[in-house]
Amino acid sequence: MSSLPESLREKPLVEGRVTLADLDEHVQSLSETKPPRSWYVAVAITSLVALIGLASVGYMVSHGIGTMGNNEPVVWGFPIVNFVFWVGIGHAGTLISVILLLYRQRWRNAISRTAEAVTVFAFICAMMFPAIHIGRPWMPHWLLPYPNSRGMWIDFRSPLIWDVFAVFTYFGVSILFWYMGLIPDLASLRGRTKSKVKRKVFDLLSWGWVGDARHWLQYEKAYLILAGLTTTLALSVHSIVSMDFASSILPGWHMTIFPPYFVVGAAFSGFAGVVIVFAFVRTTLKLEGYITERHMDLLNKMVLFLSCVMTYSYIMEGFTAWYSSNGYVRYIFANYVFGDQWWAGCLTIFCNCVLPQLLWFPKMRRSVPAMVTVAAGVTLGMWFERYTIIILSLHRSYLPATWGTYLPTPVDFMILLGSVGIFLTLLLLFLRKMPIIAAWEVKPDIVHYQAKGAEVEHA
Amino acid sequence: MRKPAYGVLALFPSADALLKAIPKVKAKGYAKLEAYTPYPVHGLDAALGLPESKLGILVFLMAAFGAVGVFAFEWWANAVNYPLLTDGKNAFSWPAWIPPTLEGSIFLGTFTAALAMLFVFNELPFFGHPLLKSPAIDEITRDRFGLLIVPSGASFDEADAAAALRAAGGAAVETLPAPSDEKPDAAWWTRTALAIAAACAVAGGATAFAIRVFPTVKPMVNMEVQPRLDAQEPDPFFANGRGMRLPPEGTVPRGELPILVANLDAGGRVLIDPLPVTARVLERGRRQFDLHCAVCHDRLGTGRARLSSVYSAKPADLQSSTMRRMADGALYWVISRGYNTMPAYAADVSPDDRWAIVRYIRALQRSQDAPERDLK
Amino acid sequence: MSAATTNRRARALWAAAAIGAVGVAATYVLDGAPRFWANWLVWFVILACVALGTLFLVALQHITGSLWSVPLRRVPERIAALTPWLVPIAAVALFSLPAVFSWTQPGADKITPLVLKSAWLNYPFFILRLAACLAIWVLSYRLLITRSLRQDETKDPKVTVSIRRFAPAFMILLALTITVFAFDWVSSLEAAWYSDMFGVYLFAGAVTSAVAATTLGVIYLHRRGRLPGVTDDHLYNLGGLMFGFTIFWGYIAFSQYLLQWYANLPEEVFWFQQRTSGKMEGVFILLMAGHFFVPFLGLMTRSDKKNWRRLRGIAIWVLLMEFVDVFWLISPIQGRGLHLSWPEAAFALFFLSAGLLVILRAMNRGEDMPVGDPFLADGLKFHLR
Repeated sequence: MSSLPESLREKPLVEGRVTLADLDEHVQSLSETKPPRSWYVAVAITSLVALIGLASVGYMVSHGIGTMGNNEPVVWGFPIVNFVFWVGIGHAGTLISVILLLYRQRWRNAISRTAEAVTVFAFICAMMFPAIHIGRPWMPHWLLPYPNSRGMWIDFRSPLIWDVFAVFTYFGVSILFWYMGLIPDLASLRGRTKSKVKRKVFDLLSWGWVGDARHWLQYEKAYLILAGLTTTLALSVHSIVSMDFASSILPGWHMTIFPPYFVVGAAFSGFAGVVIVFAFVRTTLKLEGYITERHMDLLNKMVLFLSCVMTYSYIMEGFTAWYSSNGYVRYIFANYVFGDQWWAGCLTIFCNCVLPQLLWFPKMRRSVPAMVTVAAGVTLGMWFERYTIIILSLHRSYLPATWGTYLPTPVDFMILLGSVGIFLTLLLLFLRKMPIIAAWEVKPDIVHYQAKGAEVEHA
Repeated sequence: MRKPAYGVLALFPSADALLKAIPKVKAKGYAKLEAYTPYPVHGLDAALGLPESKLGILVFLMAAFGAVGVFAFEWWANAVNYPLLTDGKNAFSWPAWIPPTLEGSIFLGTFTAALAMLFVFNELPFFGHPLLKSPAIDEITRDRFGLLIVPSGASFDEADAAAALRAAGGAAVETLPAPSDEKPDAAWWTRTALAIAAACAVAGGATAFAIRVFPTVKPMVNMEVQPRLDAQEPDPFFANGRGMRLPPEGTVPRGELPILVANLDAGGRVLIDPLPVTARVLERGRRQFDLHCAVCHDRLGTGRARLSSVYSAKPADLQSSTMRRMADGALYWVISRGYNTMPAYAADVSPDDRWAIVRYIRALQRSQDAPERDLK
Repeated sequence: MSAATTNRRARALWAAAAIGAVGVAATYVLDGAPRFWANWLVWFVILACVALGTLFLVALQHITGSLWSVPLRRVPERIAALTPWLVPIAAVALFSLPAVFSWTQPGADKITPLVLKSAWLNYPFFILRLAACLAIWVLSYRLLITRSLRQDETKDPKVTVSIRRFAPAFMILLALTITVFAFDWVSSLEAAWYSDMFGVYLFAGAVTSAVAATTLGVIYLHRRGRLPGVTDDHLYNLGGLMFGFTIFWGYIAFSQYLLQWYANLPEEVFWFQQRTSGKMEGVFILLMAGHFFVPFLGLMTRSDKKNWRRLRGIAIWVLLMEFVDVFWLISPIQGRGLHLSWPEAAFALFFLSAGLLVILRAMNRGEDMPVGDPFLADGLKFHLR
């Protein structure tokens, strides 16, 4: 093996000499010790931001939709932009923990738990937006098919109803998957705690998990089945979100490539979000031994790959807009980059197609400032992509008589900011209150790479 | 008789050690073994001879049920029970039903996988598991690998089993006592019942409170409360004080011909049925009659509908000889203008529909008093 | 297998190809140019799809560095030997331009949507694009595969490094060229129609059929004992890939259909109308059931994917469905009705036996496994967890 060129040699996914007990000591203890003062300060700030957002929601609900910028012709303003944005962020967790599991990519093990948490929290933020945007947020049950005094059913032909089904299913399944992965770790937390009450609580939460080989057999089977089904689910959810737009006949929305393009976009923004989270987490919580440079390198490769697919989609969209030879479609696409809000379209292209090309250089994939810059750029770019698609398409539709402008109000911005606050608050709580690495998945890797390391040393 | 132990447990330092120990222990004649590990160890299922999981079949069945169920429901709801015809699509627009079908299938499949794994196949929770009372469990969930010999046969000896485990490299050997199979006592049942009752009471009270309070809370009232005149509101701006304007003298609404005859008899003489004699007109009349008239006059026109018993006014018996003799135009006049306590229906029923109703009343009358030639 | 059997097989294929060639020529004479060209294009597209799909599989393995596929890699590398043969097939296909493409027909310069596209759809640019695509494909074939064959002797791991360097670039080129190919050679037959998913659609079918062809090749070699060390677990991964790409194809096909059906725009939906009404409705239903549901249900469980017999059956079925798919895309340009009779059989006979001849010859090129690849040993050790 010594004759292998450097670039072909496999780098270990666990660095340094660690034992199984060390992993618990490093990772699980995070949820048991008292966090530093800076953590409290951070939580205070983010929860304040979250509260401002929630107060704005309250103001909006009591005073009406008119307090937001939504108005004819741009009836889907910030709320839907934010909804699609957050759903997108949420996709990375599923893709990392599920698709990479099916492809037996070991490097997912160390990052899956936190990525799944990102999914759940992003979904909480995402679901807020359609809920407050339906006009009468106190009647969300009207979206469900139940026998009612009106004697009629919801229209299953409506993509918005598909959306309801998709988003609720996805949210439920994400939590289920997350929780199921937590069960063995909760059992190991039970073993660590000194407090009798906590022991009882962890015992209940892990359903008395004892690690029986027969249980593990069923558990792994269920985990794989769940992964398979959730893959289909993840593909379908953002596809269905895209069909909210693509099944219409609005120029700029009616594009057959929308379903896969939205899925890829979702994964793209999600991976960028996960890069930011891990760039921060691995140094702050001193987890470089488990979330190694190789992890970050692979994550950044995913970002690069997805950026290329995004670029392909943009090219296809632009080309087909021209190729359709439909004047309205041609106009709307020209308007994205040359129109009154040209900066939105251009920013999208720059952040999503140009900036990530930096990651072709291995150095950039390993430099924290570079990767955070790219990832932040991608997050911004993906937000503006949704802004471009939703708002710029709506404000210039078929008839010039229906053209209008869209002006977001302070309420719009505060709710957006508030959703970021909610997300960060939940994430910070998670990072110090729950097992952030799936220990039962990383432990076999430790054994594997320690054995390999010993082999190399021996040789 | 002393209850047999649950088993004899030993701990091993690594998965490899455990896998190597199993054949050694098996060779000593202990066939029933159980293993406890901190993570799923591959090869363990083969070493222990565990059967393959049947979970997949159950999940497949449930996912298929979810797909078929959701699709069938969509079809029934949108094509049969209340056909929604929008977008120029067929009532049976299957492509649009696929996305919810997929989601329903996945929802049922995933939840079946997780819940059936936990509660059906693994028979969790088992809080009485003897291992949970032993200090060994805390090591097993961290980094130790447990092997348990389950007693089988009459000649089972704990000391022999312990020796076999030690010989295979196991440490911290201990005997796990059998789980207690005590039934909960009466006090436990009382406590549980009281707790459930209390929870129900709190939930019920909260619901009652919520229902009382929340319907009165109306968020976002600015659609309802806005500076505008609603129908029939007064307004001092106009000379006659009415908020609503009257149409100019002599205007006729589109599609409406005002009935200028003053009374029933004149109506009978002047008004003439314009509709053709077709089955469709009768069908239309039946529909309109059932919609508007049958509540009081009964579906056969006898005037003895369900409402009449609670209603002081007596609806006319359309089968009576007076009604049979009444001219078509007169009936039409009554429907349009109202009679006694019967209100005018001109605002609710279009002229053609009114004529169709008249036509249907005639058919009803004939149906209840058919001449013999009709019956042949 | 002895050389004699190979020769016997080759002779039979030569004979079949000759009979097919007669039928192909007879089609032109007896049934006219449109029928001939429609069939020619069907087979041009199918062979291009299989060749590009196998190139994709090879590049995919280099990019991901997956170990399990190393011992099997020679099979897609050999099937990709079809790539250079695309050049003569394409050269003949160029003569179909004036015959069946809607934008070349007399009067096309009066139809506004076609006029607006004429900057893209005109003879010089169209031929230039084809030449560029073919050049890229043949060059990539050389860079990806010829070098890998040479590695058998040199055993130089640096070759692996440089192929891995090239693979990402190839992926980008493939994405662009297969899209151009799909738009030019399938979509522009009805030049008024457009769907920006179409490149992805053709790609999904291409990879599914390439996996199926690879599976057949692996089973063929394995049964003759030429792939020692390849186990059920390797096969399982091929089954998994076929299963995955079947779902991907179903997803893309359904999304494209749903969105155009839903929006109901005349400039789009007429294309589906042609392909779902009349006798084509049967083909459409067969496509849905056969291209998606049969492999989906047939490969669902783990033991299905390890079952050699079943996998062989499904792989043949998937390739048949690739034909149905491309036939469904292209055949309706001949007008209403289902055009399926002896000319189609003759074309199938000709191109199948000629294609098999190419693959059979390639099967004896180089070692049966990439013995020079430094990861071959690791790949043979592969076990499912």
